[in-house]
Amino acid sequence: MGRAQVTDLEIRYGKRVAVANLSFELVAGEIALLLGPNGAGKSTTLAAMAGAVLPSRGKIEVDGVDLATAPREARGKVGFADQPPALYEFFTVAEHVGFVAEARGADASAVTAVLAELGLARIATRPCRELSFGMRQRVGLAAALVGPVELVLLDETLNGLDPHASRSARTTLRAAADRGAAVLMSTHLLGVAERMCDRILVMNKGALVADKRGEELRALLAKGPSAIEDLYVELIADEGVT
Amino acid sequence: MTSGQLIRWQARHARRARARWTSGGVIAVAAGIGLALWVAHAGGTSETASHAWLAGTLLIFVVAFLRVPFHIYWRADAAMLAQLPIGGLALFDAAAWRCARAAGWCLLAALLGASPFARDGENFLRHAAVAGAFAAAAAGFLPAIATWGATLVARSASGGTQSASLRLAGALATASPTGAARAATSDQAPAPSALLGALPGFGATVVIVLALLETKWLTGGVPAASPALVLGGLGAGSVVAWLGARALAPAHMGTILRDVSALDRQRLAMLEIHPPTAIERGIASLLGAAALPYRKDARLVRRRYPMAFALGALAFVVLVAVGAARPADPAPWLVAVLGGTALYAVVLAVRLRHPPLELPRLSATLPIAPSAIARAKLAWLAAWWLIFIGAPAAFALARVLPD
Repeated sequence: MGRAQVTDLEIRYGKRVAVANLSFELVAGEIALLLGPNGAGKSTTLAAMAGAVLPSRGKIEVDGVDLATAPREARGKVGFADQPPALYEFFTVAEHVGFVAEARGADASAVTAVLAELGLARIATRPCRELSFGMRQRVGLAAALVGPVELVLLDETLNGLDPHASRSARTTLRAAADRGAAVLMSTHLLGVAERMCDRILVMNKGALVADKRGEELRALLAKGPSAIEDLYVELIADEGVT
Repeated sequence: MTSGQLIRWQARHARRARARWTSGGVIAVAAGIGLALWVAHAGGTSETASHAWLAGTLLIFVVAFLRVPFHIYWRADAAMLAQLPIGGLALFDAAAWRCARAAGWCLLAALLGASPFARDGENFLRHAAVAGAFAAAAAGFLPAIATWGATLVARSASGGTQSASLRLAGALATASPTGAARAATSDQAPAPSALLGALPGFGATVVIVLALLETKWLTGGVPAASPALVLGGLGAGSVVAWLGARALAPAHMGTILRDVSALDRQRLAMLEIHPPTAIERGIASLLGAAALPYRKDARLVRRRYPMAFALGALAFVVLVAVGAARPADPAPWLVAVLGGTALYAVVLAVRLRHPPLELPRLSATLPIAPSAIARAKLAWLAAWWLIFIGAPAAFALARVLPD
């Protein structure tokens, strides 16, 4: 079952500290939204949890497997849609997702299923290099979800999707969570956040400044349609790019 | 995923990504024919012709040597492969396959280039033996060196410690005897990213120097060292080193790809905020409206095509060495370096006009005249050529031309 534990995470870019003393846990079946201003450290955190960025300090475990000491086993449980999505430009959509599926030990039926779920079956034979921004986002999402993934990490992957694609993506993510995966996604689409999240994490300047879930989250959402935006504005001063 | 499966996926992508005329086979045959024509023009079986062949063959293999780290870890898809649960052996085998294929194409070009020597069977075989040793090094020795260096970096990055072997590798990579002597006691270790490029460069230098010891043997003279020892040792050493690297791969290759791509990503984040160099600022100040696109090109080329600087530095060293040593027959070296860098300049000119260096749709929306963009690219190419090629070539020509 999907579970992730981030403990005392610190990530530096040279002298600049991008993430500092970050600790949280994700549980199976949970869809958590990672909010925060540009430059808050959201993408860096997601990339580190996927093994694409090296922590300076701290520990990341996926389903009890340490990403630093058993990277291959841990990576087998993680699906990551980067921003922008990393696609093999000269593969077709089906080939790209098929490659990722084969690496995760999944068969062709998993590819067919995820492409159908996300409405990508009709463009399965198109080369990735010919896709629009929204289509690339959807292919990145399909690659993140295909196979036996227990932790799904999405970096602003719902941005640029049309309403149909956005709805099918939300449905697919909820289905993945219902199967036991944990989902952590960064986004600035607060309306989407309100409709689908079980938990909200807010980062600012590399640190976690709010963590709302369960009763606390329900109470927050009950305040009205702009409750998350109000919380965001209350927590984070408007300083432009941090 | 098995080695075979990964190689098949990557071969399919590589096949589609290249235009037919830029496939390795076509380039190898064209280079081989060009080299053969040059060798024939230089006198067929003479010493001059042999020198021409050696200079051309070195040029061909240097490109293969310098590309080894890009096959092993500086891959465009490294970050993606690093996120997938692919075994270390499959990752190594796929990289080794790319190195072996490149070495094979270079060997084909060198053998085609040696075809004018075929009238004298023994002469041809001597040249073929040197080409074979180069190919073995490109396919075995250098991938092993690159993998070893990356293993040290990955261990260091994962463990947060700087081992004595990492410091020793750093000293070797910079070819510093005093550094090597201090390595066991010093606390200072080289920057991992620098080591990843410098260690294969050191390995390539060793291979080239060893091959140059056999220059006289190529034309039937007495070599500086036994050919059986040097060329045989290079071949056998390459096989042993490759097997050693393959034995390391299951435990380390996945970590190498993850850590090196992560280091690259983090280094890239810092590089993006580096200011232009003094030379770039000086050139930009002369360009008027082209200064802005020039500064953009200069920064991006530095990051995206480091090979331009590595090859330029190599050409610089060879030209200065020719000028300093004043060999009796400098023409093969000068023609090989000037011809090779001219071809590379054409490649750079094409790259300067395409993404990620140039974004035509963005440029079209900005108030920058197309002529300013073209002038910026011309200025970058001219500066690159003048600094790395023109100045040392003028020095070499001044030294070797008769008064």
